[in-house]
Amino acid sequence: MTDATARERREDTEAGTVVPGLRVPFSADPASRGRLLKLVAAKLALDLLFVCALAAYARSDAFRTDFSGEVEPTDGRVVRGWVSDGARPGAVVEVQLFVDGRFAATAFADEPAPAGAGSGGGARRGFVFELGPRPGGTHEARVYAVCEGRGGARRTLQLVGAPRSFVRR
Amino acid sequence: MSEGFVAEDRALAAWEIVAAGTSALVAEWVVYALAGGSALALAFPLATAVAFMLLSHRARHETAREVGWRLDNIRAAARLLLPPMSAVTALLFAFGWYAGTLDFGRWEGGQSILGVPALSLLWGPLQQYALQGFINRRAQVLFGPGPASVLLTGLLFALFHLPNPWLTLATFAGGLLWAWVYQRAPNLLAVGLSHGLMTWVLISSVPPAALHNLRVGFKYFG
Repeated sequence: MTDATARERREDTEAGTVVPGLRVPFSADPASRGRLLKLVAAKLALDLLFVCALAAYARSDAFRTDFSGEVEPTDGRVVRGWVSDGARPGAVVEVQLFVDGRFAATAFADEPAPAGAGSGGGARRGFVFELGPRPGGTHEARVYAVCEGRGGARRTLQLVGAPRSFVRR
Repeated sequence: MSEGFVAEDRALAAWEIVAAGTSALVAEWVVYALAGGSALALAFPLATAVAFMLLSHRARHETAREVGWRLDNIRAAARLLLPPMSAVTALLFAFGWYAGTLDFGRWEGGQSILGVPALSLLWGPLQQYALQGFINRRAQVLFGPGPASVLLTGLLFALFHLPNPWLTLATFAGGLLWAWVYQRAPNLLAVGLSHGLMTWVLISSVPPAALHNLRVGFKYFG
């Protein structure tokens, strides 16, 4: 379509109307189509990049992998261990105890690391949970470090060490 | 009408609708979930959407007047809008009065009624610009003026308000009305002010819990 035809088409759509209705005066010349195609592709590519960047940021913010720790074998009365926040060595870490997959207690790892845990350069902080009364049978205890992101707006749990089983009679 | 456009035009119009729509969906569902509603993160999809729509208008040689930024047909648009708006307003006020939930001072975010005119003047026309001035026009390239393009516009407007059930229903109905009126009298100020006014009527009449503070997208669950 030439420029003149496109212009005429636009003018036609603006004039000669009975009601003040909507015209769709879109010129459809190949150049316009080419520009629009590039525009749509660029917009969708930008959206995709933005979502990927946001996802990468959210993952790095919420799922930091610099927690380390251990949970000692338990006698069924207490769960003891240590945790270290690689990003803030020596800082107090909030930990949560789950027994058989259910939340049981929350505490702060603010004690010296248990004997045998090594000093870890003083970065390791110990924690102790009282298990309290439980029904008989085999149970599993897991301890998670609480990771805060975005100034506490986002909290995720990261497993500390390995799950520990204990038996109650 | 749509037969006048070649298949490539129609496909392009469909992709333009998709490209504009993704910004709304990204802002509502992704930004809040991953960035906690950060204003900076929210600015990106909004800015790209506005830039995309303006560049698309330019590529298609659309003028502001064609898009609906005009005053000559505001009376025609108002004449079409007033009867259904009056009926819905009367119904909602009657419901609010009967249910004891009528409160003309209630507004989004606890804002007073004094904030309504400013919000109505800005937010309504801006949303209607995207919905009618961009999506409705491209829906007409796709399907031609009439029920199909009006329905598509209404459905997309409702989609952008998921998963808030009552707001989705209300915006579907409103989207149909405004799309129908816009196709007969394309005036963004008229449909935009109508949008702002009807939002105020809805908020003033319906129990706040039903509208869930107008939250949409991922924020609805927050």
